[in-house]
Amino acid sequence: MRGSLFIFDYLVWHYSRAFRDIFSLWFNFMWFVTHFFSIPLLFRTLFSPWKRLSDEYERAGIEKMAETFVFNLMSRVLGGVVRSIFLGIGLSMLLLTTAVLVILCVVWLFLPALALLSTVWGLSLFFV
Amino acid sequence: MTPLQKEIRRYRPAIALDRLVSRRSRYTIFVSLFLGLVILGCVLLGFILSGWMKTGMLNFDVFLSDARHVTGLLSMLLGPFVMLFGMMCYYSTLYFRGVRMVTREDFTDGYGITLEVAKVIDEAYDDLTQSFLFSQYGKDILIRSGISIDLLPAFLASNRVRLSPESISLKPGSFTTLYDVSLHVYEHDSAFRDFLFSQGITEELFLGASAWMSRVRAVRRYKMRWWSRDNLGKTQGIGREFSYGIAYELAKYMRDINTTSVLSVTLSDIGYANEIIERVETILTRSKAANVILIGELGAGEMDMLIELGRRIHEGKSVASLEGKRLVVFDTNAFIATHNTKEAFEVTFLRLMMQAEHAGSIIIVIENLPAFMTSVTALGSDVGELMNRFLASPFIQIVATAEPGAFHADLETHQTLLRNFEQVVVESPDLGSTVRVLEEAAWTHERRHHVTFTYGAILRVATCADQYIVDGVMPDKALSLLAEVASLAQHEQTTVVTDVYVDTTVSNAIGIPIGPIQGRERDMLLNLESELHARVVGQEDAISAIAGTMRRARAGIQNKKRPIGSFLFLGSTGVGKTETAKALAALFFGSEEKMVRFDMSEFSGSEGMPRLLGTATHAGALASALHEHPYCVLLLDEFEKADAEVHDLFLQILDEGMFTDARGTRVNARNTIIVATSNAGSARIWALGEGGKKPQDAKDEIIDEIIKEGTFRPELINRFDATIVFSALRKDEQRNIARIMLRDLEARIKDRGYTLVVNEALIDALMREGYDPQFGARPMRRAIQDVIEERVATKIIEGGLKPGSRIEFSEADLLSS
Repeated sequence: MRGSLFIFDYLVWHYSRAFRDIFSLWFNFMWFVTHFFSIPLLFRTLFSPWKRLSDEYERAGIEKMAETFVFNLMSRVLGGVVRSIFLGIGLSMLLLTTAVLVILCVVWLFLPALALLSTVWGLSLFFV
Repeated sequence: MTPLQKEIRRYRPAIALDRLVSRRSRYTIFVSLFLGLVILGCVLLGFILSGWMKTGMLNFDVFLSDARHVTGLLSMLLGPFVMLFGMMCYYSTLYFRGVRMVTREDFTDGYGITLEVAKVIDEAYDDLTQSFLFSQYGKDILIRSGISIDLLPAFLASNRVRLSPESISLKPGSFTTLYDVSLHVYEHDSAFRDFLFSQGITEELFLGASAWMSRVRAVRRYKMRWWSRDNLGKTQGIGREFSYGIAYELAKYMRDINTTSVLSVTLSDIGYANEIIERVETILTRSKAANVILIGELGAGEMDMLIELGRRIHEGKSVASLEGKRLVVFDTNAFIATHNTKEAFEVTFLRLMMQAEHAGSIIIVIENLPAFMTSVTALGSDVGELMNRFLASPFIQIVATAEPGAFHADLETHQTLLRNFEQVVVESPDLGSTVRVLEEAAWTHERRHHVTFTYGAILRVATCADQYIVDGVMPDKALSLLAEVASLAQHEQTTVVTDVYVDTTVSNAIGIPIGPIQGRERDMLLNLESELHARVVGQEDAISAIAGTMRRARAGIQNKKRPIGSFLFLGSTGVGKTETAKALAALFFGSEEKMVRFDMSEFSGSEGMPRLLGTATHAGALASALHEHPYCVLLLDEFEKADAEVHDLFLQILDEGMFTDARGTRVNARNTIIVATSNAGSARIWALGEGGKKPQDAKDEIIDEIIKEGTFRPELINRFDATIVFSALRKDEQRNIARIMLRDLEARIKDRGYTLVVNEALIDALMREGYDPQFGARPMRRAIQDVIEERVATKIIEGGLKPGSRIEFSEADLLSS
């Protein structure tokens, strides 16, 4: 009697609250990936100079100004490229985490059945 | 179903699972199954690979043919493995329900009970107390309270009113934890309270131990939940530094503030630390001049708080505007050592600051800023001037630390520099916070030294460190004491460290008895009058008043935040005031050497205070004396002659047992017996004695006269524990003193190898020459020198005495001068 009650309680949890826990877990990992790759910060500073490397414009002729402009532009481009790469990796990780969630949900749905079938199939293979 | 029953119903499967197979066994089975699956998987892979090597193609039919049994076995193991995995997930949901997290998460329940509470209530039937005490938590609390578990069966079998588990109600808005159950049992089971009381366990001890054990469990569960945002966030992210520059020069002389803090995970719960950390955070987020100077004694935990702040920033738990910032400790000593000329220092320091400013993410921590400034001044430069421009910059922040004394002496004059610093005073934590820090540290020591601390021991460590250890500040000195006690306990093979053990350790270290009064000390206190009379002749009333006060002080009835005892001794010269102080030093501190005497006439006039309290460069006489002899009788001779300001200082010392010297250092005088002596009112005392009245009975009259004369202010006299009036010595008392003094002389002469016979003739001679009712016993000392010692010396020099021979004087000898 107690055993059947336990299985019933478990199954109720498995198909209700467990999904809430899985989503909670997924939110935590999404939060972690977002923080680990500093995604909001990288978006905000996408084209900022790389490591703050930039020159001040001086009134020393057009050539000097052009030189400073090119240097600053290069610093921003470099910053943009490196940040984009990391943003790309970060966003991919978010996608991957989401994919894992979907797979997990599907596997979770069939987990009780999988446990049962696997045992029965194993027994039949081993003994029959 | 009541809400409580619903909650318990929710946990029943987990409780049943625990009863069936323990958590540890489940984990072992799970790991074994996993390993089995991995091994079988490898074997299957081997079958496939060998088939591929034979035929050149992958053949998955081996699963059902050659490797049929392996596949079957693997499949059979997979079923239980998956089931167990599902059950462990189910259990985890319930096990981690109600764990408090710093970073908020989605989908968490706001209230209910925890699994442990459900277990206690579920197993209670009609006796919540029994179930609670039989739980591991209950047993742990009893052990930490210092109660033997063997006493439980007798208590539980006794005739008592059983506490129903239904009496517990859910806490609205938060989780009901084991601590709440503990509190409930304590408050509602009077038999249990009586049982605790009979074992000497107070409410503070029991609930303190409960809270400690509850926190330990909470921290354990907190750490186990690795998928929480708090724990995931501990991994350092990447990309934050892309937007910040590099401080090349500073990098050579800095270290990241990542040293492990002793205050660790529970620090965020400690009110005093949290407040300061949040204050520093708020200041650092200002748009400019966001610099902080933390003023606190060395060891008050300033660096620990900065380490915690660094950790919060690092884990993204600090305020948003500090995200990506780095707290780095600037090694000023190394910097000065490598730049030892003014020019080299200034050029590199300015470059370092400019780079750090350009980097935009640096918060520089300068430990002991006054010392750094002094070293730079020695190079002929002014670091304040050099830093000023950067202090106002929004791109760089400086957090400095300073001890109060050095801050007042070296920094307060630099007003321009201080304008850019917000001052935060780090006070020593209160006892409660210190106990929390000690609880955390105790775990480390328990593992290292294989000992168990009771909660009482932890409390005693905190109070003893506060009360008896004069050097250092809390919690530092308490932590040192805890480490010392743990190490000693291991050395002495003591497994359970109790409050009594702590008392003994501290008492042995400082040389004065503390803790419960027992043995020789009890006898001494009970017979204090006769002990004092062994040295002080007469003065019955004075001695009994002193003895009464000292007994009250030692019994712990008096305020601990004052000196052990304080007395104002009134009376003319030579009546035994100093002798009584010496006797107190010998009885309470083990030796009369433990009496520190101040001639207060040296502290009269305006020079008095600076001599006593010191100056910015020189330590004061009082602070030095207390530093050398923290446990002593402080004898303030001729107290009335001290300056009025000195009297005011003692007003504070008598009241709080502490004072601040000229350098801003707090000096502790709580382990002293303060004895102030005065001749004030002696004419009156003499007159009373002449009139046959006991001066102690006319004490109020004498005090009134002293106040009227303006010698002491009434509030000063009231601050003393007792004012003791010493009466003039009667002739018979003087005769006793003469006898005691001659015994001393006899002992001194015996050391030289001769025996002095103390007879009535000798005493008569001494009384003849030395008795003076107005000057008490003082002239008698002179008479011993002039009359007796002189004669003995002559005899020895004449050579008529052989070693070991007796020296005896008859009345005739003594009359012929």
